[in-house]
Amino acid sequence: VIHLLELELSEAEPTLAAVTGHAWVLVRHHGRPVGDAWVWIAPDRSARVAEDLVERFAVTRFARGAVTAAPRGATAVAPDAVSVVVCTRDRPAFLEGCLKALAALAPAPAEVLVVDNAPSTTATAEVVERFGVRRVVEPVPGLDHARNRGWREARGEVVAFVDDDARPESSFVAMVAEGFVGERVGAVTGLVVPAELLFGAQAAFERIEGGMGKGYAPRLFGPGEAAVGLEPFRLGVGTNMAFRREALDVIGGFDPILDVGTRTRGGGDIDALWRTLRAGYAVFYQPAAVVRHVHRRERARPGGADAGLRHLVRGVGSSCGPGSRPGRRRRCGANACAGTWPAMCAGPSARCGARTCSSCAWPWPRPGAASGAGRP
Amino acid sequence: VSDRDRWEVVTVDVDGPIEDVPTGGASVLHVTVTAGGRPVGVVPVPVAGSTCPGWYLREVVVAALGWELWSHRLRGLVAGPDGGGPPPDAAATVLVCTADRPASLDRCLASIGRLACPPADVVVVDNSREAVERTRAVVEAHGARYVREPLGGLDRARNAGLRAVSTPLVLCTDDDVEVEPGWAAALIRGFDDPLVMAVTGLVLPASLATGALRRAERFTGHVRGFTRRVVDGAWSSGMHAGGLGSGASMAWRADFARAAGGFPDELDAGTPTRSGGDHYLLREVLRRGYRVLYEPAAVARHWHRDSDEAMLAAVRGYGTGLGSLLLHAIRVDRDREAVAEGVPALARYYGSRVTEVVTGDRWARRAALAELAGATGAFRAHAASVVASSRRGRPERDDLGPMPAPWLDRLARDVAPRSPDALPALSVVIPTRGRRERVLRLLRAIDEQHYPDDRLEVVVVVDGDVDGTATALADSPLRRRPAVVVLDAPGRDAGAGNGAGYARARGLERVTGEVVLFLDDDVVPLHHEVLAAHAGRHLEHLRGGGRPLLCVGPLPVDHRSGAGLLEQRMRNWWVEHGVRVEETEVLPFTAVCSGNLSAPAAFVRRVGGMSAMARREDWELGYRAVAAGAEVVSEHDAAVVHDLDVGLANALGDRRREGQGDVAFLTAHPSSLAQLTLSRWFDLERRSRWLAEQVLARPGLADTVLRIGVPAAGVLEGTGRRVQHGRLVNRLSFVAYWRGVGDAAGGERGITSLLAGAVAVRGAPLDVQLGDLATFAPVDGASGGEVRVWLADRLLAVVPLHRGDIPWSSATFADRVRGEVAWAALVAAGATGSVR
Repeated sequence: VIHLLELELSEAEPTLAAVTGHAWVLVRHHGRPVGDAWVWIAPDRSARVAEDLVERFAVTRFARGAVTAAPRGATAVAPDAVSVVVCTRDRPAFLEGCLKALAALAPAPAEVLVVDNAPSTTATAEVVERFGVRRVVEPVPGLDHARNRGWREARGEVVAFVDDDARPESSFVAMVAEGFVGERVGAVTGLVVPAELLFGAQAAFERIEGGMGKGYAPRLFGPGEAAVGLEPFRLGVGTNMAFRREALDVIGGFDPILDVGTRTRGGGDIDALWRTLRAGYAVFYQPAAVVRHVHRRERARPGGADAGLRHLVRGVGSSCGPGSRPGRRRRCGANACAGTWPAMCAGPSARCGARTCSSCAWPWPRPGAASGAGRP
Repeated sequence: VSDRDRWEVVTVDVDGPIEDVPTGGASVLHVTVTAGGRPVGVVPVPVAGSTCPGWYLREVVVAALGWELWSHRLRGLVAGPDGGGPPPDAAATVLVCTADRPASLDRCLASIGRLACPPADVVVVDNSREAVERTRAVVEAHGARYVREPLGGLDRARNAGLRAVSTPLVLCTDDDVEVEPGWAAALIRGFDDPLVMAVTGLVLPASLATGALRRAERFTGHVRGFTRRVVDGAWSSGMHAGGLGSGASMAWRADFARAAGGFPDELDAGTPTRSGGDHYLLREVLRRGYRVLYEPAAVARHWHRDSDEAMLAAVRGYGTGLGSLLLHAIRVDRDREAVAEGVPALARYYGSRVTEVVTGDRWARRAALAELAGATGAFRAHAASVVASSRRGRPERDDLGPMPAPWLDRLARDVAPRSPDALPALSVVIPTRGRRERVLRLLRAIDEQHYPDDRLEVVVVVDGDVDGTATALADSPLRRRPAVVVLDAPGRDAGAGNGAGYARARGLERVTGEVVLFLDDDVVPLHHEVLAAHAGRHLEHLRGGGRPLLCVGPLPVDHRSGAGLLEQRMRNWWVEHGVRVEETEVLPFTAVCSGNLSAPAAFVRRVGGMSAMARREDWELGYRAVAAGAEVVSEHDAAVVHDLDVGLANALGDRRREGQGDVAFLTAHPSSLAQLTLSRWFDLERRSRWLAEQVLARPGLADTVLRIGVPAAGVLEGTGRRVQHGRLVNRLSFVAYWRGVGDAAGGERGITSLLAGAVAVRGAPLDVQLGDLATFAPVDGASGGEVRVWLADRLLAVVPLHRGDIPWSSATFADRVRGEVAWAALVAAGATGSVR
């Protein structure tokens, strides 16, 4: 068991909960996450460990104390314009945890919408009913089918997606709204931290494979960055992302051939974020929007869903770009991509539809290619 | 990042809360972060909308510049804010050279008109071919002085400007630059240090709107960092000049620039060599052993040219200019350093360009190729430029003029004449040995001092009349005839006589005046009021009020001395020492220097007179005097200039005697350990410790090293190995010192037992709050010990108060504190929030 602890740097004497053993510490300053640390706490030494952590984060602590921002005016998006969409498929136990967390959101979102994907029992419906939130059914199995149903049904100007195994923090909606730092921001992604580290597989995922976090520095990905070899998995993950409806309209929603529930088993989130960027929007990574995620408890089987996802995000020997709008797909015969995946060559527009993948919008640097600068 | 993105340049100050910033439709804000007006760093912030929220800016700034912000804050805490202060009063002229860019010049002059500290004069040198009339109109519209230089070449224009300048300082900028309001004041303030001959400033881009502008900033940008730094030519290689700034923002002591021969006509824009004039003169500062200060608080904004062709041409020009600069140094100055260090450095640099061609991205490759192409043309361009220069004929150049001596100027300025009626009876004691001409020179100068004859007595103590000094004194037509004491005893060391300490002690026996003034024989008073200034300082005590004083007069050396490396270093040491002594209110006994020291004669006798020690006799007197209730003060108006003729062998011998003197001193006064160089024994790093132990254990070997070292240093100096020479001299001086210690203390065992005894009587620690360091003068003269530095109720560090023989100075002490408390203070400051 690895304890999950928090350390608040803005306190005069930051303290850690008195536990013994391994712990993963989320370090915050006035509630904003600023870093994490793996520590081992000997019996009765948590105060000492806290001191060490304060020292380790001394620069951050000083700088955050010394530099202040003027109280912010109205954000570009109001918290009550955010709809939260949860896609789930036959996991009532997980969903319950998620809905509990959503019920505690302050400020509350415009609505919470559960998309029940190809339900085989009524268990999900019963849970949803208990929490009194809206539920829609998407009969076609596939996460991206469910997401598409979700955003089309949602009423808010902004649609935030969380998975059923995610537990957003209470400030989630406010921080997502804040993350729309300008009119041209089409999507906001946030920090994903572990909700529990009880099993070896969870710890290994977090520690060895880096988990789902994308760091603690806010970052704006401008549309221009799409051209210079940005690695798209840095944009965010599907369990904590929010889109402007308008952007989803422009990109045509999620690609239903991707992600869990299909043979591709992943990648729909990154594909959508990537296409948002390519469509001329910016994507903002807002680490202050925190979602705690229950990592899977058993080791991934080879070829399992997260293996597929990682396969995708690392671009190892798989396909060319996760482009594609339905109907614009071409089978791509060139390069390494042939065969492995349902090949998708076309970019978000018709522009490269007829080309082979060596000239299409391949977003990841190929092994050996310097940076991809100058590619379209 | 993409070429199509528009970038906007903005400035954000973090002293107040960060507000939302309008983006003006840009996709990236290039944010210059300042704290209290002083730039801390730049950070590009991508934005996506009409405004950039303050909180987002804050997050980015905190993440990117956290450590820089802390260093800035710490510097402010330790040494007081270094960006502010009242505007300096030195008169300065702003010099702008222009060629065919009236619109740009207009913008530049407008920004000069907005300076917070308006310059005494603005001179524009017009190097135009076509737009002469328009340029003149612009200059006149701004009320600046117009100077026409018809011969093309930026350096010719600069030289014409230098001739037109009448103020001591000249601030140079280019016509494609806009200066910020604090620019002039920050540059001028840099000249507070008399050894600084040039100050360079931070040059930021004025606009990065287009891709071409950003590439221009990337490959031809002038940013040289955000840390203030001083490069001392006596210790570092002249090859650093390029990293110190550019002609777009630099200030000179006008006398220096003129005396160094001005900017070389055949370099820089407008000639085939195309650049290098500014760096040449910076190099010249370093080569002569003076200092260049890089002051990032002086901010200027440069308008790059918005085309890739212009950028590549500029890069090409840098390649040509760099080579031409070296060629000029070798051809004209016969500068050995340029051969020994410059050529290899240049080769390494072009090696890195070749690597860039192979590994860089598209633009880096093009820029590197352009630079290499420029470099290959350097020989041809240099030759062409030299020919062109000589064909046109050199422009009339004034006599080069003398090197500036700011320290002497400062000491000679504002000397108030003393009323002769109130002055006490003064006795001047001058020990001398084998320096007949110099002592005569001094006595002639004393003849001209403003002092009532009936109250002045001069005693010359001739320590072994080896060159007929006594006869010469008797024969020379002096108005104030000195009493001459000749010591005939052979002394302890037949070669060195009895020592100056003994001679002074014997002189003191003869003294009849109320105040005694000790002068060395190789000094000359700077002006006519020196004796009066000394004597006047003791009036209050003599009339029965106030504590007795040991009054130390400045002992400046002539700035113009310094042909050899050793002389440059000694000169800098003396100037720095003098500035420190003058800036410190209450001095420790280690500031007592018997070369120019006055005290009430009765008091000196009461505390036991002058010690007869060979060295450190002045400190010894100081120590006893302070213990008896005296104060050590410095007197600005009592400066005497002393000669600086040192050979390395003499200097090492001196150093060895210092080692002996320190041991004798410590034996007499064990509680003074902290102020002695000896205390370094405790924190020598491993290699130095080993060396010191070897010196103590094998004196014969050490002597051999010293014997070999002297000619070796000569070889290094002769081949232009400035840095290596410095290192070797430091090492030798270290060996000589510990050799002397070994002489007196009897090996390592002797020294450890002596030090152990001394540590036991160390003085009590002093407490100080971190924020109060600037005003902290923790010198009670006799006691040493340590300073405990606190932040609120947290103990940050214990810092030794004195280290070695240099009197405490706020700057050195602050540096040490900064080094030792930095991290602890950071941790504490984050917690208390008390450091804002």
